Amino acid sequence: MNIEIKFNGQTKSLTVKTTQSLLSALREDAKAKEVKDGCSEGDCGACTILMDGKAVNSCLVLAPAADGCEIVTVKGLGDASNPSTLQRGFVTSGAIQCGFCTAGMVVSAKALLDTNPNPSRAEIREGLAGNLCRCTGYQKIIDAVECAAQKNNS
Amino acid sequence: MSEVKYFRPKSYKELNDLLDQLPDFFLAVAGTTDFIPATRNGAPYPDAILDISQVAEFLLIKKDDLRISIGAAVTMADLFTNKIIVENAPALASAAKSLGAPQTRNRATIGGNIANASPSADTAPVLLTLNADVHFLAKDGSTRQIPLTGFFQDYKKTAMRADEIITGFSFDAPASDTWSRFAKIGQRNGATISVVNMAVLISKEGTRCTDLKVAFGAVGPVPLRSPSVESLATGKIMDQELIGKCAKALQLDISPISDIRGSAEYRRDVAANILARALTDAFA
Amino acid sequence: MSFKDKNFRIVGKPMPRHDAWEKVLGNVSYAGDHEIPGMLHVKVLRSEYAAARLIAIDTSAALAVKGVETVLTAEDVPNNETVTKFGQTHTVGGFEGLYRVLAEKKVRFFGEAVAIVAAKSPEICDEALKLIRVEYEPLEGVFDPAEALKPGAYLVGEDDSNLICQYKVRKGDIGAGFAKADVIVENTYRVPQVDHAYLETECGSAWLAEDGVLTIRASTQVIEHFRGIAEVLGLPQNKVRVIAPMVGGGFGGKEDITVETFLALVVFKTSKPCTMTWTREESLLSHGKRHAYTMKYKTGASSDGKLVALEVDILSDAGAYVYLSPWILLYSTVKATGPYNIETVKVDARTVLTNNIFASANRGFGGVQVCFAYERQMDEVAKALGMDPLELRRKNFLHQGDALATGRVLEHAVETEQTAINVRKMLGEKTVSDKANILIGQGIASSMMSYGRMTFLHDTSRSYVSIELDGSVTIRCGVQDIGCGQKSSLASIAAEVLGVELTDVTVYFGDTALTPLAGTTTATRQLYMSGNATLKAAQYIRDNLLNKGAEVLKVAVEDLDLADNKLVVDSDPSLAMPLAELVKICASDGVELFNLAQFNAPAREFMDFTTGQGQVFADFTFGSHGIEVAVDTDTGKAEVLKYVSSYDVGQALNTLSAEGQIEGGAIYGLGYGMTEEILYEKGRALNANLATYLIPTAMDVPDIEVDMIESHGGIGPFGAKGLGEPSSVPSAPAFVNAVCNAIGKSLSELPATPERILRALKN
Repeated sequence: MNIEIKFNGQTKSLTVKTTQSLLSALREDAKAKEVKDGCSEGDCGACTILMDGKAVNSCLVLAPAADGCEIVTVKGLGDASNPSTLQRGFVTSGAIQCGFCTAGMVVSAKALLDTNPNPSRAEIREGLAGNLCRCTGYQKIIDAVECAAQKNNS
Repeated sequence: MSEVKYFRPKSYKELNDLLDQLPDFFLAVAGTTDFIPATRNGAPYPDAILDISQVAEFLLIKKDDLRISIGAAVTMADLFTNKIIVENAPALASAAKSLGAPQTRNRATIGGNIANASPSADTAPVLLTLNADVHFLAKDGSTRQIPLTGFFQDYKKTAMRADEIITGFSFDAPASDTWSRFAKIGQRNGATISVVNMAVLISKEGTRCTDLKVAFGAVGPVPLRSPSVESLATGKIMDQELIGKCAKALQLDISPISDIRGSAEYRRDVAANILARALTDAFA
Repeated sequence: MSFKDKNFRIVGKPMPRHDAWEKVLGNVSYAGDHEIPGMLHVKVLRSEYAAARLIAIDTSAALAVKGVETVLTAEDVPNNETVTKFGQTHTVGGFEGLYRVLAEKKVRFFGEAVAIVAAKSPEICDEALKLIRVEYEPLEGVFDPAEALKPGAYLVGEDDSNLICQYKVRKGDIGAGFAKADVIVENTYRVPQVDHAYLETECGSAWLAEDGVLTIRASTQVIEHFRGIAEVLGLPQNKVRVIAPMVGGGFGGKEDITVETFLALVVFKTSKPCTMTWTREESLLSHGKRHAYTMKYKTGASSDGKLVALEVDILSDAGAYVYLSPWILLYSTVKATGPYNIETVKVDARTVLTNNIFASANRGFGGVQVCFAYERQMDEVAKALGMDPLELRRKNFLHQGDALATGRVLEHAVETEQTAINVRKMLGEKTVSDKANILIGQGIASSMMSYGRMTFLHDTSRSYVSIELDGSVTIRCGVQDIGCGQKSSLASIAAEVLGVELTDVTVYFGDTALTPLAGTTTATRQLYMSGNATLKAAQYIRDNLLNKGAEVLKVAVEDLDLADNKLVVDSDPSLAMPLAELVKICASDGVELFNLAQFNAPAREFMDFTTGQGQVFADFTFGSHGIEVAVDTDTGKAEVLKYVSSYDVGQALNTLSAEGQIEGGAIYGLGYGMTEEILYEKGRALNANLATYLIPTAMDVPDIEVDMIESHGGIGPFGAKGLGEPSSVPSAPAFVNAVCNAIGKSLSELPATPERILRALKN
């Protein structure tokens, strides 16, 4: 079946199977390789995207359920000429090691700051509990989000 | 293999209108956070997927006088941020907030959590202590409701018929001076499945327990109330001796198994301990 | 050279990593992101038995499925069985392991690869996999290494014994040692198999280049497997090319061949490009795990706290194939005493085949299991003596100039004692609990962990540095970057030495065709090895530039420096020259502006295995962790309230990176202590997904307070020591020591789950 999504600001038409996951549709049909597959079962958060503004695991969304929705990936948050404060924060805080969790982590952080612009470190940890990272121990990721929140609010 | 049909009605009327188009083997889904892992692990696809996550009436939380109703498609995120729930059933908000992780909570629904009928479902114990009713709509357009206490029959077997879907839940708002708690014991803090969970709803007059509702999950094939504890404590003065007796009485009603998350012995010990802790804290 | 006085511009500063931007913008193409038109998808049929005779495989029905290109079994592999030689450069005889691409004769573990399918889509692969008919004769198997050593035990392989190898260390007269002891403490410690759980599973793509070179682009820590792949296919080594793009986590799990031979086989047979990505379940079931060990420790101490005797017995479960087990066991054997000076020592270690998943490299490589044992044992001995655990350690720490039980003298900086003092200080006073069911405890653990490979492997590394005509810098180095900044460090080194900015350096990495081979990204060796090679190459160019500069400006070479993209004269700032101008002069005069350097690690011969004496490692990194926990006696749950970590890093190349490594390593190790374990039933893993194999989430861990000592006493560039593995080694014992301190009971098994803690409280 055909679905129409708003993908990082642009309208996109995709042909999908009813039982296909949104993750698969994004990676294979929309060629959005920045959305990663870490487990396909909603346990790791590597595939996190914003769907109508809410952070979801795209591996646990059926592609047809995304019809008519606004989908934002990490590439929709900023680019080289105009990165978001969050992306800047991740770079300057040393929050990136292997980088595989980063795309999903940044999207989750964005969703957190959208609902809670001034989170405590404990609240940041809670907001990112669905995004596993094996390299950093999370600390500099928390630093990055805290830094971005401060910059956004100054 | 012909493609699985997919329906996503936007309103109760639209849903009703398409009911007779549905094949016999259809499944209602909403957040699909249980559906997708299940099918990946071998559960058969239905002939049609009925996605009820956008049915406007199923997204509502209402309070009419004392009666609170929650639509089946209300997500965990909506539950714990909703004023009616936070003010009237804080234990339900607590349970919703503890389920999974933020991404899951944006999609997982109360209807799905109950319909999936995992013994460790986090909203189940709270709804059981609230004496909630579960509401159904059948393929032939008829509706019914039953107490949730009669819903869970055996491991992943429920009173819902194959031609029915859950449309929502309703319960009387507890009095404003009741004491409640939801406790979730997992193997880690974030994104964890309950090894034991518990809901407690207490009415008291001074040190006397005038009403006690206690429910547990992951300590038997279904989420359950503990009549042994409830009958022992109701009407009595709550002291350390009675608390000890309650912790013992609990063992009569639960039958945990050992699985990869924990042993039966651990579940018995923890269930007793967190019950005793709740009763101690409630009457401190 | 002026940066000798350590006025670094780049080294030792907190710098954003060289490759951070492309990662945060979502622009990096990892091994599973690469698409080639017409590429086939490849999937593996895996054994449903842990032990079975493989009688017949019928692939005809699978081959008949529309869209299936090929179905391959062992008989389709030109050389299905090869021998794993551990050293890439110096072959060491004696301990060689059998490597099979696809199962043959017998399957040895649940999940062993039996056949591969290549088809137009992953769905068609799945359909075909279901139609492959395999005839198995289930065999009894053996799942416990002690059982596997008994006479008449089921034989896992084709040898007449399941014992792979054994080592020993003997120092002094152990009997006399125990006779002197005032207390003797005996314990058995058990640690399970655990997984790396990198976020990126094993994956890659492969194709036949237009010149016939078989090219593989895979998530790997070792591009030098091109030799092994060539051997499997019967091709010349220069006809196989391996590229490692940015790797989404390795930790040792991508050190052995994973997808490479499967992909290469499909290209070899079909000439078509192909891709493969393992599912998380497949990854958990089928790639090598950290070894499960049973470790018996018997310690004798005098009443004043001197350790007079230590007897250790290690039994290691190697799982189904040899892989790196002998080397991991050697690490354990040498490090079994911990960073302590013990009067008499007897260590015996054995590693044994079983039908569990094969065990291989995992961060710590044998050094981490024994750290759990020796650091738990130190606390138990302290308890028996009624002594403070820090005080006991301080009475026994090895110092620079002391010898290990293997006779090897520690000639470089040894700051363990200072790190232990630091963590105790950083932990501070114990938090006071105001709740009846919360018990507070503190624990410390110290460790020694080598960096650099075993010296009898005669390790080498190569790096090529050049300056372009506009003064920008290029590095070509075969380094594999698994997220620790292996690539970025080289840029830092070259930028420092050549006086340019980090952003003026481009690094080409991880390609056997186009970058000089730097050796494996394993054994915490890259900063030491490719770092030193890059330093050597950059210094060569710098010397050429400064010599020409001295000639042109008519000043002494000692008065010159390179900084801020300029040649500067220390005594006269007005005489500066833009670097690009100097470069052009050099180019015009035929001065070499490039260098391919090789760094050779100090080479030794094999240690004497009859006496257990000799040198195995070039150097060690010493550090300590300190943890405070709050244990809930209702549930057994231990919350980490405080985590402190102190290391002698030698010289931090990038303080942000070094901290990140220490923080990340601590949490990786904390998972080992708190929740991680592969649960087995007759060789079948029961928890093969991330909902049941539990690693720490952001909500499970606190901030870590990091302290770095910079002794400059390492043998890496600028006196650096390696951090990758050392940062993770003492976490589990620090955690368990804290829990034991809280509950007043002893725990000897990992992980220290809430259930195990509650059980200890009850007993």
